[in-house]
Amino acid sequence: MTGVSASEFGDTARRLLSERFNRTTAWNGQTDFSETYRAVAELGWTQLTLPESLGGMGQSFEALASIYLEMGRALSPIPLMASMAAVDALTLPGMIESSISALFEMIGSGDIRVAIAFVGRSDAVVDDVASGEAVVSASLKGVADAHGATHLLLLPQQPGDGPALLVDLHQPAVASTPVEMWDRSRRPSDIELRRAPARIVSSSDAAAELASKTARAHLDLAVACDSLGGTQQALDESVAYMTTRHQFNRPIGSFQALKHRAADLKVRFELASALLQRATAAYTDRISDWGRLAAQARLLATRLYSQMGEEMVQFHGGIGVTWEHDCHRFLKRAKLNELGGESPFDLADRIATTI
Amino acid sequence: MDTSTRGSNTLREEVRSWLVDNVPLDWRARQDGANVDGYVQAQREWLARLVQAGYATPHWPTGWPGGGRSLEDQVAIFEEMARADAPRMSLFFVSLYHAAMTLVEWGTEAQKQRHLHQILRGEVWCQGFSEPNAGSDLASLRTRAERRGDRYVVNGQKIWSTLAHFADWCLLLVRTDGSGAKQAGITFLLMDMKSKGVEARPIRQITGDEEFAEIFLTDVEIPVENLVGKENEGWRVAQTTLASERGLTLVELSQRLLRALDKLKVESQQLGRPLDGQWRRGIVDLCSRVEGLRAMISQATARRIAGEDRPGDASITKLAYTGILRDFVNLGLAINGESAQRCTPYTLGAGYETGNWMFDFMNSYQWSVAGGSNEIQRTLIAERVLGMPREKLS
Repeated sequence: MTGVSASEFGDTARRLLSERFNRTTAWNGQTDFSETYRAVAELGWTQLTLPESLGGMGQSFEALASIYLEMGRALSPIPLMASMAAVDALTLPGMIESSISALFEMIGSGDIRVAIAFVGRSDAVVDDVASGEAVVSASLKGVADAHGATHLLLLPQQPGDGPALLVDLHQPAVASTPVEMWDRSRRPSDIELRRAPARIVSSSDAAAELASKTARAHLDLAVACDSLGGTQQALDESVAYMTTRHQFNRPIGSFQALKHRAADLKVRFELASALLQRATAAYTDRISDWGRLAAQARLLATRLYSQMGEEMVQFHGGIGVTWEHDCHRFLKRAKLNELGGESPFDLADRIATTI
Repeated sequence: MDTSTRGSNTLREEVRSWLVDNVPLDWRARQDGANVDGYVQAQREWLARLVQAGYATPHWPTGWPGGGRSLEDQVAIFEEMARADAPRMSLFFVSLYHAAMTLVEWGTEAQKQRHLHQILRGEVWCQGFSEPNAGSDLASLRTRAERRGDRYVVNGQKIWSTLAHFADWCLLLVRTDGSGAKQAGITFLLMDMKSKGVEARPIRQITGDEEFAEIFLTDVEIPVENLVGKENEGWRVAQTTLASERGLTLVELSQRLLRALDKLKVESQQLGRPLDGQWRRGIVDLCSRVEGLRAMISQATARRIAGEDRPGDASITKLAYTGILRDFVNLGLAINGESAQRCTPYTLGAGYETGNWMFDFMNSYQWSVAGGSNEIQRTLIAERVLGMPREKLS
């Protein structure tokens, strides 16, 4: 099968992920991936899209997207997305941290890892706003990529929901509790902020709004990439199984009842890939409706991955419902990609406001 | 790469301004379902205008009027036509694409000279391929042709021939040898529809329309000079015919789908009550899929322009389109409720923007059944693209 994106970064990432990381590690009791995170930081992944002026590699988002695809293929547990989305948001003009190279150097080295939460007025209480500082109280459920994160970037849910805030998670006013999920390759945290000091990092409401839109689009695309990488791998493995598994003296993949469903998945995969490719290009150059396209790409890709995961189990029959086989690992990750954070209904309603 | 955003800009502007002056404002009114003569007349006038402007034949080779345009330019013309809501050229589609491209590649000089000029003047062609017992399995066709001196004598029956009851000529597949492999004994002929023994009977479809016809052939004599390619080698010629529109229809149709979605958005707001959440999500779903479809078609076209076609591209886009179209018309039906169940006028030759949701719904089967059913496409994708084991076929 031809790849979704055959960029050099993707090829390197695929090789590294298959050589160094076993996709079942997260399922065999390992919960802390800080070392793995440092390892990919050393490989330069965390500096990839950071501007050269801030010590980064200045690559386009497309390069990072091809890594996200490979991480999806490999069911990688590396919590990379939120920190990379934070880089895109924090380096925008109008963001106070945008020129602080020390912060970005530490993100690049993997010493700082940033989780992101989008909060509305009712979710967080922000007081004592003065000279670039504030105090925040909030109870946040299931913050993605938060386990092992050093900082939390709070972004306004809606325009006007307040400034962008950066909270140091290593302080007494913060309680961060990792949550075990059905998808063990992901480990979000519940975060309690009890009058936690925070830095205001946006210079205006407009800057906070753009940072929010940027981070959201980045995460939409990242989850879409992860989903299509996973779909591609799951489809490849399903086709391979149906080609070798014999019943009634013939490969089961010769039965129309199975091959037609595989073909339908391939059609949906090509459609979602085409949209993702267009959306990725739009985000990279911030052209046309980049925010809408990213959300639409997420909608199609996550729904497809979920369908693919369900079919993968069914295609594999008995072996597909065993813990030993990887089918359920794809299915569980697909379900979390589709249902985590924002429900598909909320995602559709978010898109509805843009069309 | 998005073909709609690069190149051809001058051509696009030229086509756009031509369309402003030339799309007849009353074309929908003149092509309503009750008025078949009006439809034929309007199609003829529209063809004449397009030919004069050189926009009917951008896919013809250099040297022919309007011909020699790049694929990129052809895409631009199709997209602009759809964007301007110009009538589709349904009556002449087989002449301009299937007949012309087959003649260009396989026809004798005499055949080209005789027909290509006439096609520009409005000669209507139909396809005599499918038979009652040779649909998805086309190569099993049984209409017999016997060579007698300088003519073939043909007996048999053809079906699903688009607008054959209006056609002047027919691209005909016949069996001249039944002894070997089924693909080996097929011959490709050009048949004058006015020949003795030809009877075209329109088939009334579930839309109530008569777009297809059966063709009954009884001792029809066809001169040997109307042979295309060699005797018994017609299967290869037929592949050219089938490939002739090269996916451009979908470039146009996906663009029209986008327009139709805009109409549905407006329509749903005009219903005078707040839009139901489920409907709104239905519209979001379709907008997203149409966006994906357009990206997919534009990327596939870009690959074709670069000479990097992938096997199965055509099947994949067709399957994607038929699924989206069916869901789209079903949503239109749901939103419009009982009012869409009333018999109201519709516009012929308008694709699925006829203004009548039930017509469009019934007509959507044309895409999932005709031109290789969805099931045939799925088998093709599974076997040729995914490399899954073949079924045992006879």
